[in-house]
Amino acid sequence: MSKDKMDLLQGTLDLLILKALKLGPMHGFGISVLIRQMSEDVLRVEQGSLYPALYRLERQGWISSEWGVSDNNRKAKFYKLTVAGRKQLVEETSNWEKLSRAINLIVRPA
Amino acid sequence: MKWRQQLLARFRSLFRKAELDSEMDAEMRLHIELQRQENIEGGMAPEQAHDAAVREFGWLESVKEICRDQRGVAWLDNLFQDVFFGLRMLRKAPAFTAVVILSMALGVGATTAIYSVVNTILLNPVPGTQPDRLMQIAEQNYTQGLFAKENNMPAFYGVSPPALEALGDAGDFFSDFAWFDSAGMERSAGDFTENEGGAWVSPNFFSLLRVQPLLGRTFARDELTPVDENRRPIGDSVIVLSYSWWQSLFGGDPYIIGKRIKLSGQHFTIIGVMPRRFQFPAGYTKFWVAAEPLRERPNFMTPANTRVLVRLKPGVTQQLTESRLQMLAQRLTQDHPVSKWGYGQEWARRPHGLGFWIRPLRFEFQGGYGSEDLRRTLFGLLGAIGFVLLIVCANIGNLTLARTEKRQQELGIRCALGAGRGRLMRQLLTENLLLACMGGLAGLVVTHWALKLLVLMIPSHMPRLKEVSVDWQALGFALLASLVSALIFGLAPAWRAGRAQLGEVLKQAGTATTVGVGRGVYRSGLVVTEIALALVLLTGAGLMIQSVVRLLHVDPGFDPQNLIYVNLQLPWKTYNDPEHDLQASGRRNVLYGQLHDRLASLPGVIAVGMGKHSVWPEKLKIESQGAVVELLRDGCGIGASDFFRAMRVPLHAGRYFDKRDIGAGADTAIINETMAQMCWPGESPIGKSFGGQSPYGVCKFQVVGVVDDLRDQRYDQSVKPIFYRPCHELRLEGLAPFIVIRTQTDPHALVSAIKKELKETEPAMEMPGIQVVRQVLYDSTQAQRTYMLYMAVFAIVGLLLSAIGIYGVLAYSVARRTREIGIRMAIGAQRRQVLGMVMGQGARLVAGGIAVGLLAAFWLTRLLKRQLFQVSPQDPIVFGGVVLVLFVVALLACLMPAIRATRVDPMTALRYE
Repeated sequence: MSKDKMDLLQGTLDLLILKALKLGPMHGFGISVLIRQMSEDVLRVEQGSLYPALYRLERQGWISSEWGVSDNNRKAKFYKLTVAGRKQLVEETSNWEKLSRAINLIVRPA
Repeated sequence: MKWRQQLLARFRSLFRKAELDSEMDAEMRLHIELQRQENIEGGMAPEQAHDAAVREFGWLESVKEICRDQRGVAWLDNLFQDVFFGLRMLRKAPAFTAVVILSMALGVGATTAIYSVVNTILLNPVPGTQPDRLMQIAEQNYTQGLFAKENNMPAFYGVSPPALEALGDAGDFFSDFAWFDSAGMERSAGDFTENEGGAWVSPNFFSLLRVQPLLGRTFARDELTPVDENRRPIGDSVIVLSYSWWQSLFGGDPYIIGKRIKLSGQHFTIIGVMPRRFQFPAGYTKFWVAAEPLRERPNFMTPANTRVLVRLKPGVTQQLTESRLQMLAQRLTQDHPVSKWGYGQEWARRPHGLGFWIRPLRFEFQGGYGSEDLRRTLFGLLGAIGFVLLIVCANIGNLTLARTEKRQQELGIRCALGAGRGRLMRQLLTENLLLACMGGLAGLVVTHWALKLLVLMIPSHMPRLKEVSVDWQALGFALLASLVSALIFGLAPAWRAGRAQLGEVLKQAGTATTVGVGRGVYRSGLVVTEIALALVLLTGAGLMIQSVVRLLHVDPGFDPQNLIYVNLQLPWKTYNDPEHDLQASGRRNVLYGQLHDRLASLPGVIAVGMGKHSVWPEKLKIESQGAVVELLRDGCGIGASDFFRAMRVPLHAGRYFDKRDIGAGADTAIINETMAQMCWPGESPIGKSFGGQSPYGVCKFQVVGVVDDLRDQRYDQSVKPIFYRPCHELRLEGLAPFIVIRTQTDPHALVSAIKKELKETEPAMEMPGIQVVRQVLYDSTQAQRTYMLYMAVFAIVGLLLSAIGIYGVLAYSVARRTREIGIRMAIGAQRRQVLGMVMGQGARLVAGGIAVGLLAAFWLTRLLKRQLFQVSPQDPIVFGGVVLVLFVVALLACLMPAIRATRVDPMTALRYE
């Protein structure tokens, strides 16, 4: 495990999952790998947080799931973004941008 | 739309639980598998790769549990699970379950029942909305007791005819105005004329009280019975019957409406029957008839006994009405300075002239005759039941606390398996709620039966407007109290279990050597409280029981066995003619002689005595003393008809009456013990004389005998100073005589023969009152005996509950200390010492509880003072006895766990690890 691994900021996991699923339907393991890779191995999602978050997002109707076959021919549950999920992603992205801009303003004053 | 899908999904998840669970499992196993493959690709050895994947995933079951919570109706799912699990757990601890349910049932049931009766009868007896707008108005008046000191208590009677008329005209601050008065009607029943009691009312009486008849209708505005100036009916009319009379006289005939009944010589058509709960103005009211208010006072009536009911107009306050009434009183006093019937003169004689009182109708139910006894009884019971409820709460708390602590290990394991603290709390909450529901249901059953018993205690003369039924607020309160105590004490340990370090809990539950001090304190505190409460309860009950025992052992002053008491109802005109008193008294004496001889010749009769009770004291002077005393003058037969001999009243000094005591100049008297003590303390009263101005002229009497004090109606009746004169010499016209008959065997068998003789001797006689004296005396203690019984039951329940409480604490403590005791025994402690140790722990709790309880009891039993008969509220025998009983029972409760402690086998205890 790399030293510069970071804990996720509270509330950002939903955004990351939605963002990952925007690339297409995928299963839980795929999501966790994708997040790790996209963040250049900095962000690691605990499975104890990932699955409850997936179930929560599904309940809120932002993602839906169906069983399919994985790359290596195994039965797997695939999650995909719903219409409502796309809207939510837009909203959360803009929220995040506002937040990171605000933090940057403080941390790196011009 | 969205929410509907969500809801659907949630409910689907409820019924597809197994399917969803296996899907979740598959999904997560796949994750681990994929991770393992990635690890291998990253260059790990296969086994290492698997372990790393599992480790990275985290505790699978815990993740699953969190996911289930996210899935939707987990709460409902959990609820079902909790309920089934809870039921299983309760079934596994039947003793615990039974005791908690039983204590809740008793506490909730008894409290609710007694509160319901108190509320319906005393606190809130008036039905309908805004019951406090319904008021009563009376002239300011005072009691008319027998003696001066009893004569000046404010009493709420009624109003006199001129005041009634004036009030009826002052309609602008009443939205409705009605009156009622007692009514007596003659009805021929077999050989005798029965005098039936009912009420004269204004036609709107029922509509003012807003009650509907059970059958038929009530009076129309103009349905007035024609009456003469003495309010005797002089024409046919209509009548409304009470439920009880309809039942007893007509057998509940459903076609009663329209039938006729003959009362006082007139035919009354029955137009309605009132419901059973409507018993007003008294429990024994048999009928209601409507009439005009009396304009003038009938010559034999007391002046102010017409009761007035008004409904105040909205916005009119009681104070405002009072000031208006004051003005009305002033006007009346001016208008009637000297009236034909003497109202003005009478008002002027009163301490404050004419004035009015007004009060809410509800007070009528609290101030009537006999209600004082009932009120004290009910409030006493309410107090006792309050203590029982407190003990129940403490006990439920104690038991739940013990049980949850015993389950620390189980809770710890479930925590370790992934249950959150909230989940555990929910489980315990469900279990406690289940218990509370069962206890509550059982409590409802107890309430139902207890109410039936309690209603029997209400004296028949108490007026009632409302059905006594379960008071739901009280039920709710009692349920809530026991529920809250179960929750607080059941959940507190769960809270701690969730917080504590898992390892700690598991370790402690397995191998604890000594009991932690912290949690012992709560439980010990509860036990001390419980014992203190039980002590107060037991003391109260003990005092009541002692009091009733004393009451039942009171010497009534005569032999009540096989004795009949007959109250004669003589035709007024024949035997009480003030204008021809000599002839009337001659007829009386002839009649008494005939009655005596005929009754004495009945087979089975040993002796017949005659007497008269007076109702008004006379102020007489004792010779050789300056003070004037008030004395009652009672009559007595002479010779064979002497009632002292028939009643077997012991003679303390002198002699009974004989022929020497009749005739001019023979002014002799027999006095009772109370008068002897009062007038001639420390001296022999025989030969002493007393006298003064009586309504019949100057009199002077010489004492020839002293007899014991008589209590012939109630055991607890206070005895007045009385002197007896021969009936022949007594000129108390208005008084009907009584006859006492001493029989050889069961007096009930002679009642009909006695009736027959009476009727044959004087055919015009009304139905006499015939009582078996022993029964009357026994009935007079009915309320106290019932009260004693209830108190005893409550005390025993309280005692048992606190015994269970202390047993629970000690049994639990011994179970926790098994290993400690084992070690002690292994290093040489004797069984005796172990026994002493456990008993000592129990005894300290008991002693603490007793000390606290004694202080409380000394302070609280003073409240019982008025209910106690010849017993001091601090009676040392009762206090000593209660402490002893409580100590013995509590130590017995300690003994069982203590003996179990001595049976601990050191080897087994140590191997427990």
